[in-house]
Amino acid sequence: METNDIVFVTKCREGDSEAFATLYDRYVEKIYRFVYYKVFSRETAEDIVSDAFLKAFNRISTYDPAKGSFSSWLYRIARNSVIDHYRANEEVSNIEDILGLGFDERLAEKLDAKESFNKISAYLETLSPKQREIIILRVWEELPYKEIAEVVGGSEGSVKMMFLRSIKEIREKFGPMALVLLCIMKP
Amino acid sequence: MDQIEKILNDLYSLDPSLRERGGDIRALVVSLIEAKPPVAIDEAFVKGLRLRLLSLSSPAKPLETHDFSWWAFRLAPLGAIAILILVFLPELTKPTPFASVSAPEVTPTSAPSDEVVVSDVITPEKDERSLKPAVSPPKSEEKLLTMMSASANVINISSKKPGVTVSVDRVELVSSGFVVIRSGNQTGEIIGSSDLIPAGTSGNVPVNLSRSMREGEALYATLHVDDGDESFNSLKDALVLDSVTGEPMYVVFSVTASAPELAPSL
Repeated sequence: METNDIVFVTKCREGDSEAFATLYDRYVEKIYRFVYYKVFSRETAEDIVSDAFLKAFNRISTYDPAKGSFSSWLYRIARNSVIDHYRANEEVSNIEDILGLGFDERLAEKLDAKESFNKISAYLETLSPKQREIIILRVWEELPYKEIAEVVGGSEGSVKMMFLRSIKEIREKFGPMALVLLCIMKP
Repeated sequence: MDQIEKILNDLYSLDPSLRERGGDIRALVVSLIEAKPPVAIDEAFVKGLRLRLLSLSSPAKPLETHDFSWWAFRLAPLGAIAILILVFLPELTKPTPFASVSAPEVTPTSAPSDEVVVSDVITPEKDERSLKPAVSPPKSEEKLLTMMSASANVINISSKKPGVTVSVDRVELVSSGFVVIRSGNQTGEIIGSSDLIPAGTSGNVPVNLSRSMREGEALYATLHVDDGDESFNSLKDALVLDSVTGEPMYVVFSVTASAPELAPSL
C-alpha cells in the first residue's frame, strides 16, 4: 500500500472526487491484472473492474484503516466483484475455482505465454483454489503476506505457511521435472 | 533485493532445511515468475472509467448544518450512556484478590524457577524436576499432557489428531514470542510456527503446518522469543533455552487419531 493512501481517502470522504482519481490511477492496473488472472477475458475484466471501482467510490466512507490497508480493501472489493459476476451469470458451479485461476483460449494468441502458462497450469492445478490464489498474489502481484491475508482472509502466518506448503507440494509432485521443463522452455 | 531473492528468503526463514535443496526451489520460483501472463490494459478503457468516476457526485457528501442537529438529537442519549459506563467501569472491572494475570505468578511458590509446572488436569508420570520429558511421551488411559517450563514460560500440549493445524492447549510467556512445531527432535525441521503470541496466558493457539501430521509420529513444540518485528524468523527469533542444561526447551507430543478434538478452555 502506498503510505499516503489514507490522505487521499480522507479527502474523498470530504467530497474531493479528484482524490479518488489519484487512488484510481495508482491501483487500476494492479486491480485489472488481478481480475484478468481470474477471468482471462478483456471484456469481462473491464466490466468487473468498472464495477469494483464504482463500488469502492460509493463505499469509500465504509473503509476502516484499522481493519487493513486501502489496497487490500480494494482487492477484496474486486475479488467479490468477480464472485458476483459469475453468480449473476451462473457460469460456474464452483466459485472457488475461479478465484484460483482461469484459462482462456485468448492466451493461444501469444504462443510463448501459452507454453509457459501451460507448464505452470500443470503445477497450479494440483493445488487448492486458495493455494493457487496465494501463489498468484505473492508471485505475480508481488503483494506482501500481510496484504494477501487481508484479501483472502486468515492470518499472515497462515498465509505464509500455506505458501510454503504449496511450494513444497509442487516440488514433491514435479521434482526435477521443474528443472527439465525450465530448460526446455528457454530458447 | 529482487523478487526471486525476496521469495526465497521468505521460504528459507520459514523452513531453513529448504536451503540444502535450494537449486530446485529456485528453479521453481523462477519458472512461476516467468510464466506470469502478459496483460495489456486498454488505455481508452482506463481513461473512460476515470472520467465516469469523476462525473459522479462526490463520494462522501459533507454534513450540512441542518444534519448536525439531527445527529446530535440521536447521539446525545448514547453519549450519556457512554459517560455512565466510563464512570462505573473501574468498579466493574476491579480485579479480585486471587486473579492471576501474568505468567510468572502461576508457578507454585515453593518451586524454583526451573521446575516443571504441574498441571491440575493430569500429572505426568515423571520426576518433578525433570525438564525434558522422555522421547516417548508418558502413557495414560486419558489424554496425554506434556509440559515444560523455564523461567515461567509454560506450554501445555496434548496429543493431537492427524491434520495440518495444531491447537496448542495453553501457552504462558514472559515476553511475546512464537510456538514452533518441529519434526524429528527439538532442533529438527520446522513444520509450523504460530502467529505472534503476546506475553501472558493464551489458550488454543493455532499453528498451521507445512505438511499434515502423520498417525503415530512424535512432534516437538519449542518456544521462540520475538525479536521485535512481530514476524517469526528462525534465524532471528531466539529459542527459549533450559536455564539448567542450556538446551532448547521443548515438549514432545504424539499424533493419534484417538486424540480428543479440543483441549479444555482456560
